[in-house]
Amino acid sequence: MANPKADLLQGTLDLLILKSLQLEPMHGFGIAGRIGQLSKDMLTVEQGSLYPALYRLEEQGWIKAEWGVSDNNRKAKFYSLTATGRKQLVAEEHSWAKLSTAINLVLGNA
Amino acid sequence: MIRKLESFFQRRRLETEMAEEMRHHVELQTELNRKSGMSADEARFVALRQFGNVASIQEQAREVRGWLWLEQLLQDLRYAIRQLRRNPGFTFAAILVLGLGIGANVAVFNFVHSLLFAPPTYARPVEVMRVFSQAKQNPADLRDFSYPAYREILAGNTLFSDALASVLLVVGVGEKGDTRRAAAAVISANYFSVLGVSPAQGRTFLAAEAAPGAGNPVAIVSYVFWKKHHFDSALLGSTLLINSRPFIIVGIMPEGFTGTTALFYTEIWVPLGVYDQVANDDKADAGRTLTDPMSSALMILGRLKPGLNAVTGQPALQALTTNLVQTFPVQQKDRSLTMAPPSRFASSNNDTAVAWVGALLLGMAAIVLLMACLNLANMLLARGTARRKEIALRLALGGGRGRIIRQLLTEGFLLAFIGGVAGLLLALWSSALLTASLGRMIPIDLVWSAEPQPALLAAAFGFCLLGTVGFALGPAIKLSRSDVMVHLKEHAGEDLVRRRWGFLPRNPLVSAQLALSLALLTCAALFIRSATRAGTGATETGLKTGNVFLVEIDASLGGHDKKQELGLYRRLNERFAALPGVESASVSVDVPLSGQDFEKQLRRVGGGLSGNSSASAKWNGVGEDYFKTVGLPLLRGRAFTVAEATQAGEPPVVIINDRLAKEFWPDGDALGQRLLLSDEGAAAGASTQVGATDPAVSKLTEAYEVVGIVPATRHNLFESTPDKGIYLPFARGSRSHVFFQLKFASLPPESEVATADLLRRVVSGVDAALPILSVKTFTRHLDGNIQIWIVRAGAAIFSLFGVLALCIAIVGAYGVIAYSVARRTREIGIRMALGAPPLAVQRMILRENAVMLGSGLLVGLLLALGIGKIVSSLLYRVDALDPVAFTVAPGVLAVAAFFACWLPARRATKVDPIIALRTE
Repeated sequence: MANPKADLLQGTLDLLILKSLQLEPMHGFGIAGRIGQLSKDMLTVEQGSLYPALYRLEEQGWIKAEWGVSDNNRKAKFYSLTATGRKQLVAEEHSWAKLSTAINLVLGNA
Repeated sequence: MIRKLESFFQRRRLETEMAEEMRHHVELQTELNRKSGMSADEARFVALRQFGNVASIQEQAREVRGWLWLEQLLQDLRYAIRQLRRNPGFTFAAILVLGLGIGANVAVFNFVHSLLFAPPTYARPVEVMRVFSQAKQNPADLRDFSYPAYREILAGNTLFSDALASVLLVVGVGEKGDTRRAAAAVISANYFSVLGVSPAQGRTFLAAEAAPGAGNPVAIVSYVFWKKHHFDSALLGSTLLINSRPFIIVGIMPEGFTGTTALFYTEIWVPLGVYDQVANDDKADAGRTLTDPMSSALMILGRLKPGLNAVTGQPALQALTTNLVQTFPVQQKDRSLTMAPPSRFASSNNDTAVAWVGALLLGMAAIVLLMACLNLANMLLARGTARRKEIALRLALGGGRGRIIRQLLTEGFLLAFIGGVAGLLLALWSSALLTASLGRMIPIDLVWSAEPQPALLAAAFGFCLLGTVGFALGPAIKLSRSDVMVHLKEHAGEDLVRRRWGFLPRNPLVSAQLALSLALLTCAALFIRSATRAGTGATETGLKTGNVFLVEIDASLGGHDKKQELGLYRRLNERFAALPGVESASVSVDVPLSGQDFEKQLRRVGGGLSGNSSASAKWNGVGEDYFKTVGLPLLRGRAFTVAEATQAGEPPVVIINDRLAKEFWPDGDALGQRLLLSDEGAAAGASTQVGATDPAVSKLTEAYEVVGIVPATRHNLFESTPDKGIYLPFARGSRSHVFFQLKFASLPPESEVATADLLRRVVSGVDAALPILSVKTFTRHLDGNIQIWIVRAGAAIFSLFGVLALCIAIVGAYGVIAYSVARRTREIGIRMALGAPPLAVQRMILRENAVMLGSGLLVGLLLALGIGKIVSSLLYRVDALDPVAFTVAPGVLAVAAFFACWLPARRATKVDPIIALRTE
């Protein structure tokens, strides 16, 4: 499947997921939609990476899952940030900023 | 960690949650698609496509959660068990093949382990060294020491913290008339402290008890001895008859302690103080007392001082040599001291030969295991080819390649594990059988136990692992590499790959397996030929012993005085000869294949003749009727007279064999010539020349006149030609340990037991205290010969290996060929439908497989030639290139391989073309 949109840099998916959960709890489909929406459809999240990533983050204790009812009245699993998850988000945002600055410097765009 | 554990136990709930979550995702996506204007079906289809491979994503998600490997292992095991149960025929064949392979390995390992690797049973064996007196001219000439030399070594030494002295003996134990022979050691008082072992019960010997001539009859027995007495609590302090003398048991050694040897148990220990009473003439040192400085009976083992080893101890050893040569200038002339780790056996340095046999056995067993693995790999491959579709399906449905390999490996390991357990049971059973059969031959307790040892279990497990890797990994990798689309579409698994090297064997594994089978089979044939030869060995000793009974007696074990023996044996001989049905009876010191070796140095009297003038020869002391009784014809001259055989004062005469006659008097008549004899031959070795300076030669006072010549007889099974030998009249060449031969007119097998009883009664009628060691027919004597046993055991083991190899090779070849033919059923159907005659099709298949079979057989033949060369030293009078073995073995295998080819081919051509075409 050809993908004209930008590929996700490895390791950034975690950051995107954490960021999209910053405001409110969301289910998996919602997270994927939110990332697409925020990136103006430049980034799409493959489901094949999304769910393993969600389980991994849950495993690490950065997000937690609860069953709730979605907008269209269906049972869905909602993910929300935990306290450590918030800290992790701050840390990752910080390191991403540093990284992107560094890369821009190398590319001579700063 | 706890979360992971939690998730493991809640995996069922998590699983449904995951499925539900993903379904929810797809539903939302479907809705979204519908909003963008798709039909219901299309929306759902696109949503599913967008989501991707559900199973694969779930699998990835599971992996994140951990504990997956355990989950998968359980799953794999369940699946493997299901697979094995679904193909009981395959499973049974695989377990049988593996069980036999592993069983052979474990049995041989058990044997080789106790032979070579089991550590000595005393403390810190590395510190213990055995001291020898070595001839400077001839490094192979090693001697032990006299008691005075032992005292001297102890006194003047800076090398050892302490050193023990010990003499290994075979003694008669038990009640009169029912004498059992047992391994015993006559030891110094510090024996147990040097070895670092303390008794399980009672005490060790006191210094006073071990002093020369103390004569205090005390004994210590082994745990095995105690076990034989059913752990009698009253054993300590009870009386034990050793060579018919009462000894009081003062100690019992702990379980597992074998004394200074590693291969068999010392059963009884007595102090050096009773040496003169207990030492019998089984030793070369006959008649010498303990304190005689000319003796060399004492084995000395020392424990090195801390910090010293075989190298750093050399200066101290040099100092000891100097000291000893000064004190004993005659005995230690041209000799120096050496030290070496104690041999695993009693004798000096035959460890290498045993190691070699062990290595050979291990090698053979390894070949069988290798073949079993090759065979299983073939079977698994063939079966796996049938499972290609299943595997392709699993790959298509999102199964990871690693996962599939793991699954196949699990199956392999399960098979190996079951096969290993089967093999272990088989090995224990066969080891017990081997020990029991060896135990009947020799009067000692082998350390070699059939009980499972940790090392044995570890070895079995190791073989299982090896087996798994060997036979499961290859096929697993090959199968999982398959191209999904090709295999899903393919027809009945035909070979789609065009083979670039068509002339090479289609399946090298089968060729390799055939080659190994042929090598083993040929070896087996060589050994079976040996055994047949050895079985008829009785006639080949040169004697006619058809109706001959043997009675083995040792008066010294019954505490008789050596001076009475001659008369006693004479009376017994007369009683035997007078028995009804006995044609003649005689006494002799030795019988062929007795396992004993008595040598004397000979010198021809009178120079100026051609031929050698000195030699060493086997000797035997015989009665006047010996040659008549054992059926040995006199070539020239006469037998001994009654007077010569019974009275030492008669003129010295000797009967020689034709080999010796030819060597000493090549062109003259040996009759009437004279010989000088010396006893030192055995101790000094054949290389020692008889010279006037040697103190022993001073005994060469009388010259023996040759009065008769007899044919040379084979004394030892492995002699290529019979050795030189002489016969002395019994009165001049006698020992306490003798054999009586009785030739019966007829000896029906059913009367054997009654005759033996009768002979026992005759012996006790002459002297009730005379210990009978054995009463048996000459044929049984040969059956019990240890060399014949080795050849027969070798033949049995190798026949077993050979039959194993044959079965494995045929099962393997048949399976693979049958499978490859079955896969071509469609093609054969087409050929037949187009009018090919069945015979032509059969020939085609045979021709195609001929390369594989032929190359296997060729390589196998070369291998067999090599192995035949290696084992030729163990073969009994069979050439390493024995034509019979080298035609029968390849013949059998070739015929078997031909049928393995032909039967499936015939079946394939019998199939109705229509049915064949419709296959799949």
